[in-house]
Amino acid sequence: MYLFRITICAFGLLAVLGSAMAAPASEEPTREDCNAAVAEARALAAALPPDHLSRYFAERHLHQALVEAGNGEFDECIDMAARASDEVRERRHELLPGEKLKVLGAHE
Amino acid sequence: MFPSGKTILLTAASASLALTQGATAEEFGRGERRGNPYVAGDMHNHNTCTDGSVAAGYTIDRAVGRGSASAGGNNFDLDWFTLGNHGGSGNRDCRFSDTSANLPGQTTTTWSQTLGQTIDGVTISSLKGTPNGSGTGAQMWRWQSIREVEYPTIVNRSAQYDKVLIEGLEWIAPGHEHVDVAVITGQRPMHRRKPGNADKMAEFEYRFDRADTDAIGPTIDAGGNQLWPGKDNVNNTGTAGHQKALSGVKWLQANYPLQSYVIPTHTERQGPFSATANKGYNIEHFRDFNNAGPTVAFGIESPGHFAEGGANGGSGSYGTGAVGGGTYGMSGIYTAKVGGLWDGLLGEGRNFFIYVSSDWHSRGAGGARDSFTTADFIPGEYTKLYVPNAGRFSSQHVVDGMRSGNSYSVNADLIGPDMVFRAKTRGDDWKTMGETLVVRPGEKITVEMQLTVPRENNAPYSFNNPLLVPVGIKQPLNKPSLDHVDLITGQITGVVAPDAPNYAVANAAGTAGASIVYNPSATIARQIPATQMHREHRGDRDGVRLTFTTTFTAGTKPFYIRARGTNIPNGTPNVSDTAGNPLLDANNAQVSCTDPACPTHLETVNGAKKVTHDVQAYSNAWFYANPIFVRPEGSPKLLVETNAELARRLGQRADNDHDHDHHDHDDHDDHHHDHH
Repeated sequence: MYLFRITICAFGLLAVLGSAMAAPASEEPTREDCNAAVAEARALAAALPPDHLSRYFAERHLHQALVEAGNGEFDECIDMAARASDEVRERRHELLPGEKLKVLGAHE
Repeated sequence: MFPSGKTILLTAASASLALTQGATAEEFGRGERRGNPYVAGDMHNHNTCTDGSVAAGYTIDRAVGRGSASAGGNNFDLDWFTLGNHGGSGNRDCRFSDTSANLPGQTTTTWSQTLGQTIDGVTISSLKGTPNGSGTGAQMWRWQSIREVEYPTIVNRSAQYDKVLIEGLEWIAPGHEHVDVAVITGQRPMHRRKPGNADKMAEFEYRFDRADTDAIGPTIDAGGNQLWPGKDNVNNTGTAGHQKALSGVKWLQANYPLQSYVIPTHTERQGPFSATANKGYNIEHFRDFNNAGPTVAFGIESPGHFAEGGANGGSGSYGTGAVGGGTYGMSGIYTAKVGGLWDGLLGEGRNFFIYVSSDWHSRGAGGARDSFTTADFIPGEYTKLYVPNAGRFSSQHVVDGMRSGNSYSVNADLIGPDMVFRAKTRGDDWKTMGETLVVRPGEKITVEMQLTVPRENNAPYSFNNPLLVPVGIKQPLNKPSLDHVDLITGQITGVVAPDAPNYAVANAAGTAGASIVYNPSATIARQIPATQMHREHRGDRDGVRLTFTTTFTAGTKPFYIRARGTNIPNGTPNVSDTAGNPLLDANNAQVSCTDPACPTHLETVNGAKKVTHDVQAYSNAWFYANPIFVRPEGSPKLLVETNAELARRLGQRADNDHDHDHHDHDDHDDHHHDHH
């Protein structure tokens, strides 16, 4: 379904990020912390029905989490992953009967 | 409208400093901008060089273009634009937008896929500096993308739009969070033959950004000798990091005192400063910055990310751990609280001003062309930072305007580009924002404000503001409406010395941080309802012109007057207190959005849509004007005055150097302006 297709390739693209950067200070989140947080949130999102609006929002947050990791900002990665987890746990977005979230597709 | 206060010689840096006195509006601008005493811009935004969602060029197109984008979506016609993207590194080729932006023909592209190709006239042959990642994770250090991708894009778009475009940075500061920085030296993007470069901006990023851990930088010969040797790649955290950040401020002050700025942003977001981590700021850090960089470190910025608010808060990207526990009227507590941190700094007489920008990354659940957003607004869509229009406007005028304090910050187009905020005692010697009025005790001080409430803003919603429904007001979200203006005063008691016991003030995360008082004398001295202002309708296109004057009596102590305005009446449930102060914005989500047109992307609680995301941002609209300072005749000059004088002297010195070196100007004009 379109709402989810748009995130899939970016997940794959960014998941293989390596790093030669200097190790952050001990209190700073690491890439491993980021990857773990993203994996946990992704598993939560996957438990929602594919057409649930909160799953879509969560996957958008997770996409941004990986983008932040690509910039070396692991604290922001973890923050975005936490937002994704909260989104799923609290079902923050729900479509009312008859509603549809209209997002312009790249082909439109 | 404006008195013609001074004759202005447009020769060099010092000339633009004088513009804070205000020339006649008729002298300003060209085309449709003629007559606007201020011009709108944005200095904090992102693209795929770091963590944004769209290409560097696409952001500029949407921000400064007119009409509609070719693939759809509105452009926002800003007058000036500073590309202020993170430091560090990035693995994506920022000549392409991310797949998530849903732009036709655009898919996420990494540097590993495009090396050696010429795209948009730019060829990246290698990733320079210390190797950083591999495969699709291979990253380009930001000093390289500033020099080789973003600046060429600035040059390209400058010619296309004939607007002021600047290559800047969102500095990931050692010891702290983020800071807006620009070094305009060397940038001449409008110069056809010699468009200059952003090397000084890139050098700052390489030397001082804690996310840029490259140990090599650009080299100058085949032997690998460094162009920028001597980088401190160690002291990036906590107290040592703060000292490195101060070194960065001092570097700017020493080398580019009139050609740079350093403005901490979303300053409350990560809570108080930590001596062992990288987060936050306390008041002593802003004092340190201003002391180290009196003509470059002159303010802070509002949070951006204005559409992120959900049912539990989050507007401005502020969570419950932020100082203050979230935003207040879409501002951080440092600036939103009367008597708060900003008033503390103004109470010293410091040249410390506030600014606003978009912090554009993405539209969250939407693509770049969707009219709704659950995250950020495109530059110019929701926030506008106004600086004086200097006629032959240039990047130098942006920096000069910001430094002068003669600027104001507007959300949701609550007011337009022609605000007047000024004070005088006798005659016609008006002083405006950032300036100091010298008075005799007992004299009457007349304060005047003129502002235009535009007919429309950029909201895609025409249903009534849901926050105002409970108080019986029907106000369409896309029709700006001003309820009142607050004039806030505070006493100035002098600069706090670094060794004084109150130089550092204990700070706190969460709502506990909102109770800290830094200037107990600050108060809402006047509140002027829009209904009591003189009102002049300017036709269907231009909205309503509102004017008021009020008076104060000069005392024996210096003080300042700043202004803010809002569409929110006092005592609006879940939005403002009875005095008119904004409440924690998380409370807005207690209100349901019940109009049938309320959009599907709003957060819901028990099936009810709540005032969240972009609907919240358009419902809770504010503007902030920087202060006018007042001191008694014969009293010592305020720091804001002496630092302005320092800037003026530095400008005169630059003029002299310029005259001296005039014969080889083209090769030695690093410290001067875009002349176009």
